Amino acid sequence: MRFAYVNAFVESAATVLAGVAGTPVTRGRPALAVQPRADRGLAALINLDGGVAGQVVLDVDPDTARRLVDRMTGGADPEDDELLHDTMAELANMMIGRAVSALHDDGHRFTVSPPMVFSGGPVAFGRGAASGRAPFTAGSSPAEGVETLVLTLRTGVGDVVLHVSVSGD
Amino acid sequence: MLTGIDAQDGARMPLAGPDGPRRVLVVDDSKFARGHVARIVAALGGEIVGEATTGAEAVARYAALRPDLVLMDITMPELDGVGAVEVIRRDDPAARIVMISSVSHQEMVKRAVELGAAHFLPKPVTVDLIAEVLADVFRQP
Repeated sequence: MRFAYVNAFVESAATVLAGVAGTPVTRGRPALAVQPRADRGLAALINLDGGVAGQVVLDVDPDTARRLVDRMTGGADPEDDELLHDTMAELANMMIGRAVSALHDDGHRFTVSPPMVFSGGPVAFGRGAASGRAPFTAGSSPAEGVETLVLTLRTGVGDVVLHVSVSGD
Repeated sequence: MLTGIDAQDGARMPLAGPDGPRRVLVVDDSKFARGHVARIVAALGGEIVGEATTGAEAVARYAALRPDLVLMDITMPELDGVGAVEVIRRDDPAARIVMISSVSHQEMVKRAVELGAAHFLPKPVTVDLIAEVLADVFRQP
């Protein structure tokens, strides 16, 4: 795990989340895990492949997700599951976007997958499998031995748990 | 997230054109993003005349609708936003297209601008930022 890369994603995520939630964001104590594992009920996964490779996962409980969607949409129907999933995917895109741009500008070349949103759980991501759902190719999994940083981002509308598992050249 | 809408005044309505609301095509594969941009367009005095979810669809919708402005995402299936800019501007060199994307690294911005995009905005966009950019876009001949 390259901490410079991880830090880029954490900073990007915290900055964007503060903007969309409209509240300050504080950070919990970071922890390390073997692989990303989402257990709050709604997760958005983005795979990175190339010079920077790995996974970034947002993990939120459904009530927090609905409050975030409410902030982001200005009061959309909280029971619209399609909009809920779509908004979480877009939030994941935005939360990593600044880091992706900065790393590209530093010369790193890699691709970013469209976000995949999972409901229910728990879901473990990595090494070509996700709790038996296996939506990933082997090439999109983090390298063997790459640890995952797990960090809770606390907002006024609830917690978003960020999992970052990336390695690079 | 529509920060600033309530505070705007009549002077900050760049989509309220002299002959009525400017006609806007919104292109994004995200339902949330289309809705968000549509609310901003309405707040700035514009009219959404169409939506598209892929670059290829954007090209077809542009040809059919000839809007005054296209607000275009980049990462989309079939044909991405930069590719769509290239096709649209080849057909209509006067097309006004503003890119809106989560990813905005220099290489991508340079490519889009070279192909004729008028501006490039990083997501999340706010009404204030779009208002400022569109005022500039519609000042251009």
